[in-house]
Amino acid sequence: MNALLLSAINQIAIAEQPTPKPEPGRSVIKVLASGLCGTDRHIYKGEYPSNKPVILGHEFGGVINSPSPDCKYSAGDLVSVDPNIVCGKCIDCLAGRTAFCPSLIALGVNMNGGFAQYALVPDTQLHKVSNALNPLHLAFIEPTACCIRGLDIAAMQGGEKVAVLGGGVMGQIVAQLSALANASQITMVTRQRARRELAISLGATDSVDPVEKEVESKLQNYDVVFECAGVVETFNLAQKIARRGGSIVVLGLTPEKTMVDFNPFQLVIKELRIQGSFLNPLTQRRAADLVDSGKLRLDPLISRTLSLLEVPEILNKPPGQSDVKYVVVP
Amino acid sequence: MKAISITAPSQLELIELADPTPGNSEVVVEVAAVGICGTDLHIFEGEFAPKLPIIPGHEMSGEVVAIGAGVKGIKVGDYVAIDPSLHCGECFYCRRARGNLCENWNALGVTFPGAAAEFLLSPQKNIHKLPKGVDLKSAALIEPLSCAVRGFDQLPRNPGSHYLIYGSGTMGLMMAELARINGAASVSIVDLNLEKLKTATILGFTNTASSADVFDQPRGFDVVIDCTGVTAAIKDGLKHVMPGGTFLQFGVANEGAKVEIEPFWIYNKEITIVGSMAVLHSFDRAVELFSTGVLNAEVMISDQYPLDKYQDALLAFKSGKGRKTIVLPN
Repeated sequence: MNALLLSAINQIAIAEQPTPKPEPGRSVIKVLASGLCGTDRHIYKGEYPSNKPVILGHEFGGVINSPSPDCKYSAGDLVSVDPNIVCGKCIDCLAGRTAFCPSLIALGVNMNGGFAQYALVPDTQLHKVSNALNPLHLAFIEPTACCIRGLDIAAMQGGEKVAVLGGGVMGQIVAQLSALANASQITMVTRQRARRELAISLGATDSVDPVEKEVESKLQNYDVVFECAGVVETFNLAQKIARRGGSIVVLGLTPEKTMVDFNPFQLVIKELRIQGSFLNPLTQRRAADLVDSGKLRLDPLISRTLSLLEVPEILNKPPGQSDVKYVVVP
Repeated sequence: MKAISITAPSQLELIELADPTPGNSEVVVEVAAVGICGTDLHIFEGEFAPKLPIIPGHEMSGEVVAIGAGVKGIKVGDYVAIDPSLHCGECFYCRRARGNLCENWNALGVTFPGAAAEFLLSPQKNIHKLPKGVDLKSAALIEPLSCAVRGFDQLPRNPGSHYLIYGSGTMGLMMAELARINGAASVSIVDLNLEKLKTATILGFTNTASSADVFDQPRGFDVVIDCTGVTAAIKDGLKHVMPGGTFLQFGVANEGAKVEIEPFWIYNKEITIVGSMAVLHSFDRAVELFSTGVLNAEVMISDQYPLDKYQDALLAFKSGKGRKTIVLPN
């Protein structure tokens, strides 16, 4: 089969790889869609640790080709893959903190992932969806699961006001999830006009360019601020625009070792709550069901579909400013 | 009656004024005890209170000596503790049950006459009757306890959690007691002042040290509470939060204080950083907890002064010696 193999930092190429065969507890799926994520870029450049050689791609799904003998699903079933494999036995897993499992390994990072025609996937990681689902939407289930985690942590109540900082795929999904959770206002804050317009077309109530003058006075009194951009400026902005008693949920990946200031006096006086949201612990099933339900509008988030052959070139270029999601169809 | 009036920064006088008489829904309390806290010191130094002169004192207990015509359920002779919070009940936050964040916030002893006086005039709704057998003077501890209860309300409160508390003063020790009755697996207390740590030991907290590094918690603590407001302590405390854990900012820092944090860490370790402001729906529970003996008042209250020595009491508190200082106006 064809696969996109990362052999070393900055070295990625299409390679002919043996097509995997099912094993006890592991089924082979034919990959139908695999999302390209910022993390893939970080891995490619050596900014995020991974095994090498490895087939990248951790936001994927497909159709079961050869089920394992004990797989509860059948050949031909459409499935989403939860890429994060945890031990289920350690103190963190048992406490429900699976994202901190010391044995956590991820398909497409530590083991072969979804930028290939076929993938060998532990049965525990498979989540069946209806066969009527647009296969391209399989690429959105993992990012949706991460966003659902953020919504869980935000513990938003109906009628609250939400600001979403960052208009990438996470921000666009978080905005839609906030609408489904009955937010009364959803403000998309992002620099790219196309992304602001996209958010409005998908249910955000208003949008603001964060480099506008006096942006802080325009953005006030948010009950929940989702930081989905992962930059210092948005982290600081979040602290200023959350209302008293408000929550800031940090979903964006700010580079490691980047420091920001927070004001402990304001934290007390405003009773702010700053919370991190990491990965998709125990949310993949709900994300699969939600995507399957058709309640999220995902087609407008697909900026491009790519063949495997096109990926190396894309990884070598900076990300397109107004692009949201590239979906690889191997 | 006699009262203490803070007339200008660092100036106070013992004044003589008319005894208060209750309005329709007001109650007059003969003050048994009034506690001194950091807020009183701030007010004495010309901060926090918007206007001077003011009669300070917001941690108070006493006996009802007069009631207004419309007062129901309270009678002359009742022993009471008084919630100093004067939330407007009409603003956005009050109508969202977040009166501690009231836009028109007032409080007895801050913006209205407090209990550093022989008598206190209080709205009926602020009066909490004490059960039989409660020591009236010690009941001045109920107000700070109600702040600690609010702080605890901001935490996950999972039994079996490990707690780390910065500050072995009145508030730190109250937090430690609340942690203990909330089923803490362990309670560790840090203070640079070794004398203060001795009090923790007397109360049965054996994990005490001048640095948190000595405690054997390689994974960190489920909950870290700062009761100091000192940036060095806050910075150190953040380092000891376990993945998935919570940091509570309880101590009031200087207004412009800044602490560096790493957004990647908040994200990657799903840290919660949360503030707690004053009293919110926690006074009645503090009365209950105090009545069941959650605090050892004999240990918690180290010094008592008559009203005419109010300034001495303030300065003794400022020196950092002892624990809770109370003033007995009658």
